[in-house]
Amino acid sequence: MANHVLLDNISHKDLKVITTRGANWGDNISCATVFPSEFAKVQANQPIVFRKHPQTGQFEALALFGFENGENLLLNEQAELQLSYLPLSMQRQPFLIGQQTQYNNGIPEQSLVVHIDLDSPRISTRDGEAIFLEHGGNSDYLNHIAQVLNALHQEHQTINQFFERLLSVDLLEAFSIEYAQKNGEKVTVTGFYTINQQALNNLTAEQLKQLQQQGDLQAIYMVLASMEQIPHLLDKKWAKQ
Amino acid sequence: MQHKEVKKVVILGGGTAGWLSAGLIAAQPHLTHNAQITLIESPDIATIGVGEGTWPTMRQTLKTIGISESEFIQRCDASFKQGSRFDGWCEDEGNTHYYHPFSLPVAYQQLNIAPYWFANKDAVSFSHAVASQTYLCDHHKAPKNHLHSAYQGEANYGYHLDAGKFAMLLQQHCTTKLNVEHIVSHVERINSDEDGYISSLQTRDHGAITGDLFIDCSGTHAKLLHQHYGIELIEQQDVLFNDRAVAVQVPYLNPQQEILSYTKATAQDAGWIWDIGLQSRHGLGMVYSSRFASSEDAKQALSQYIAKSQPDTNQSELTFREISFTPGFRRRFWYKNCLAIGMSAGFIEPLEASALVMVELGLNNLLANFPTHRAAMPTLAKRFDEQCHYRWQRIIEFLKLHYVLSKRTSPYWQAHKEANSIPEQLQENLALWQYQSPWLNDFDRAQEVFSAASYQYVLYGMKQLPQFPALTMPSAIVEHFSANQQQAKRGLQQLPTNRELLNHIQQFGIQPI
Repeated sequence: MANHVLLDNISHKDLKVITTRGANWGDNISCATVFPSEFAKVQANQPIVFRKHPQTGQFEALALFGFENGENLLLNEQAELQLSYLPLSMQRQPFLIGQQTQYNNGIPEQSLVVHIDLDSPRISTRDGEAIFLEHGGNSDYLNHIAQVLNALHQEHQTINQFFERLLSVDLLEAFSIEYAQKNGEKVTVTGFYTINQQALNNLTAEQLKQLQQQGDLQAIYMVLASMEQIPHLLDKKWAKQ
Repeated sequence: MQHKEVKKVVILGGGTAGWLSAGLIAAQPHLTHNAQITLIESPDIATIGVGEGTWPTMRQTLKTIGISESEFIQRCDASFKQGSRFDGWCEDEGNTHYYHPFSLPVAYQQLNIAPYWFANKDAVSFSHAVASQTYLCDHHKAPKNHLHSAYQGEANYGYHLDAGKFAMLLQQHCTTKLNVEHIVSHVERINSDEDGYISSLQTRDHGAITGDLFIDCSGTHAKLLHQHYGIELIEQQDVLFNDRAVAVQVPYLNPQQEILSYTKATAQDAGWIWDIGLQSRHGLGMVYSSRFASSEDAKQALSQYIAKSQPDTNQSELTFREISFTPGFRRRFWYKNCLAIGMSAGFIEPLEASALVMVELGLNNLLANFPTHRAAMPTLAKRFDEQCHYRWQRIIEFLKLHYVLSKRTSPYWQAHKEANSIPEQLQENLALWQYQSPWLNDFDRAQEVFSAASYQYVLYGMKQLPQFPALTMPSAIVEHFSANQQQAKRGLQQLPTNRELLNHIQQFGIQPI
């Protein structure tokens, strides 16, 4: 379970973070959140699908690693995960963005702070990257994390608008993934959405131009290209049965 | 014949009916050959703002007009309505109630399950036995969850809404997105051509507004159809006695109070009280017959109801609004190039919330056969009239059904049972339904307002069972009943409450797909 606390260089001065990826460190996950600026790097290796966030119901984009809860088909035989590109949402682990209210002359101001999940299996006092330098300064690793968190924060601010633009021209459509297990049982995984290719083809020049100017057009084609990864992922599932 | 193509539609009246007309017509230019739409609204006349309950049809209507469900819910104080509940309609004593849910009985497309329920009638009410939605209503559940797409749900649903806010939203949408011209000015004169067709409406500030087709949404005055053309109302107070209402808005004391999933209609000695739960308040009202009660009696009954349902309400802060109406509908609904939509066409008590759905049905009718040329109008008008008459008569019969089966003893309820107050066709049907249950053949039009299912819910809710031996249940039927119970169980586990879902939509909205 998660135990999120505000990171500080006194209580957490000796903590280290294991940055190796693998099932032992919580990477037995079937998907990770990704953002449009990452699509180009993700699409070469994983399918990018959309779904409604289980809590908010708002659209999000996922890099798909498996088809069942906790199934990561990209883990190697040693249960390690070696991705050529690690999504920001995974790089940030075990850190999170928190909000803090600070009073400036009695006026409340919201500021972003770094939280850490103390129950993450990545936390160690022996192995991994130091968070703080010996005398309390930020390590390069923590500076990198701060950049990652900042980038994620920016992405979170704009992701709804990205989907709203797609929806406004009816570019999303629901789809499901069907596969047969070795025992013959047919499985259907539902709740996914992707780009409606026909709707894309029917867009007017003006609509296309707008998407292009917003930077959405590239993201759209990356999602379409990434669909080719679904059969590869299914092959892996088949091979593991 | 000279140029008589229909290129411009002029709508008179800026209430819900007017703006729904503008929205539905303007959003479907392919059905009108791109007719231009102008809506004229008088600054002097306040809209009455009735119709806080819709039917499930409103989902398609909003979708067609192009309003997102999120925006509608966020801006109109709207909530989800899954049917009606009738409290105390059967008899004076006891706290009995029954539901008329929006969902059809289980297996309705295949067979009539009602006769099989009779054997079980003492164990489970009809609506609980055949419509899982009834359980959702019992527990203030929403008909959907936050992952459902806009306008889709687990159970069939309509809305409760703030009519004033709804008209505002429609107005904004129509004028900014659908190119509807909006003129705020008093209409002083109606100009006709040599054939008696309306050629323009003379406004105080904007001169003559010409048009080819005029839609009278001016409310009960029926400024065009009645005041100009003299088309009278066929009055119905011999059948449905209610002709007065007193309405009040009661804010919730606890802003997170559970929200009713149904319109609650509670019987009173000379009428009934509606209770509609919006996000921020109750909309309440007592509708009654002036033959049997004074406005003081009505106010007192309403006041007692509030004191009982929300005891700490400070009633001195409430504004009680009195409404007077003549129940009835027009002799004609479309005359020359003018048709009535909304209360100008007719008005009866809000039981079963037929006001807005009649607006939708009328407009859909008009749009399905839009007169692109004046020459088509006489035939279309004749058909439109026939269709409207049929619908009004069926509605009146169905509303009457709610009263005639009651065992309540006050003079008002007794008078409702007098044979000369009951329409002939309803009498015939009631005689028939002593021996068989209402079914598809009893209502054989493609677009019935109330289906046989509705009649079943009311008849069996009122404990009016036919006299025939209970049928033994084949296993397929047992399965239908148990599937319904399973569905109810799942719904209760998985669906949020109305309040939870509405809070969620306020914060996150709901996705269009």
